[in-house]
Amino acid sequence: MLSDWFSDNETLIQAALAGALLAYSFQIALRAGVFTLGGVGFWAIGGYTTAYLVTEREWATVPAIGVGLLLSAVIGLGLALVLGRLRALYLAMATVAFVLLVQIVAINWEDVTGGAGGLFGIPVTVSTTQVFLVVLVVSIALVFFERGARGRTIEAMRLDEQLAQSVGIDVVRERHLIFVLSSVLAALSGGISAVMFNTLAPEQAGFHLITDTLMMVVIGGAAAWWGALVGAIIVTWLPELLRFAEDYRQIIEAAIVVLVIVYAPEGIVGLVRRVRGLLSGRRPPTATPFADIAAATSPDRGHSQPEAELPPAAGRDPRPATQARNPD
Amino acid sequence: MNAQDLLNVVVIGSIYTLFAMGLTLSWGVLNILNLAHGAIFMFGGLLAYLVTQDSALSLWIVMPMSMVVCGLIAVLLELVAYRPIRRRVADLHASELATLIASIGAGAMLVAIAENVTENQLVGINPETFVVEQTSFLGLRTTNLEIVIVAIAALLSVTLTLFITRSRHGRALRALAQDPYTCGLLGISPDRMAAATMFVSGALAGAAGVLLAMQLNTVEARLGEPLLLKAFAVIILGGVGSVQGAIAAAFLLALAETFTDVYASTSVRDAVAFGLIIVLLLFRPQGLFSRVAWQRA
Repeated sequence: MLSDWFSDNETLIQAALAGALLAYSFQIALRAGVFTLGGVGFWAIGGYTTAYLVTEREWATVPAIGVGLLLSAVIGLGLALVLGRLRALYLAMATVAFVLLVQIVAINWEDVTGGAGGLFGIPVTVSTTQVFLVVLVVSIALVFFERGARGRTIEAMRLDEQLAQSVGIDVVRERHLIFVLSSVLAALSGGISAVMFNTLAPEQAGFHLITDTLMMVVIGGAAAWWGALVGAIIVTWLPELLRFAEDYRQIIEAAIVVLVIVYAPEGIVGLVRRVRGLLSGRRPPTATPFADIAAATSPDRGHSQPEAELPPAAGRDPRPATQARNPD
Repeated sequence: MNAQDLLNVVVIGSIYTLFAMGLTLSWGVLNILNLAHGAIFMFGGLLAYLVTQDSALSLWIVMPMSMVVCGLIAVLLELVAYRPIRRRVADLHASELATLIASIGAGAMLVAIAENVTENQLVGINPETFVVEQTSFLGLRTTNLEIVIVAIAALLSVTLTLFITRSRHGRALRALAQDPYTCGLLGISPDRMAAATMFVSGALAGAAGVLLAMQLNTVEARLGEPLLLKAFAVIILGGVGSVQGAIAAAFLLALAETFTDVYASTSVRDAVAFGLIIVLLLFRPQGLFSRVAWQRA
């Protein structure tokens, strides 16, 4: 029974696993308050590097993916150094520009990338089980990454960068680290996708992938690694679930992103934490980089107000979110 | 580089101007980086295709109609997504990012609708909408369409600049960019101004969409994406929120691109915008022309 289900849905499972890795890449950046969408560019870099080395140079899969990761780490660090000063919208814009540039390179560098048509017949060298193990290992690593002093450091950076700096967190270095980790995870997803689905085209690494991945992280919730995982699974199966909608499927999918970001910006993670908070009788901590609904006591006030960033608003838990969750 | 190339610069720069002005306006005034702008732009062209499918209408009817509808689409986004986010999310940063994600989703929706309508095919506006003829201008080869593009871009950008710098509403708009809270105290409704800004932004995108679709003779769902990259470069070059800066930067970018085209290769051309973004961010992050303080960097 179970094995039947696996073989029937193998492509979807594979897509969910590759999607989860890319969603992790977005999630660790968002959780640290680093709003980069550059992951999709690194997905392409990892993918093309792996595909080129495996197909043209006949390398083994693991070193080929490794080179892709290394290359992405180096480019990621370079990008972090250049864009290090940017915050929020400026960083988002610059990284979207990076993604579009990578796509342009992929279209024009025909010797390596196969041009606009892309690469076909990349040998399939990984099994679903192997990819599952990779995702498992990465997930376990993320569990530790989000716990303890390191986890709190990163949460503090997102909640208030200046405050984090004042308690001795080297924000600049941490942001660079996050940038590199995010790039490497995205390249891992790209490399695995290339040798799992045997084709790779520039159009895959465009706006569409940014939308899909953001959808995973937004639906799942950016506050915890498992939000990205759950989001990846949901988004991958969404086309199946929405099969009845036929031609309107993609429109509905995009509408879901808008609805979730407006009405439930904390995603499933936020929902679960809220329920858990209700059960244990405590107020839920601030869950995502996107929202602090509790602080929105009155509608218009607050927006574009510098002092609103540290709101002494009534009804808000005065403890920092990190303490509220880890009362040690 | 000869005079003919310079004429191309003016035409391309005009399209960039029309596209980037709306984007810089919503960012500067409302802190909305509207990534749906490219999709709204594409919708302008798509609408022109749809209404001229059966019978040719004059460009002078089609374009205003596209502008109004695209303006309304932008207002709709403001009403159903951006405004609720501003209401619910107090933290400025968080609300900017949520708005950005919402705009990506909204853009994806518009693109999906367009893909349905065009069935993923390249379509074209009825050529009888505007009969393109070769003409010469000061001894240079050009078309009457190119002259129209340049004229409309000039007209709209001058109107917008005068509106923002001279009119009462323009002053209110600039005040809103400075401090929405105090604007509320002074009797300027931030909500109404936001809707008006989005309308203007969408209408400009619609005009640009019709004109570029005419010029390229194609409409497709992803028409707007390449222009987003250019618009980013234009906005950074001109300084965020500065309409005059955006106009100047649009022509500078067009000049730089044509220059690479002529002296290097066409494939490098598209990377120029990204190169400009990086160099500007490194050495002059406030933009070439802007006096506005660099935001929180």
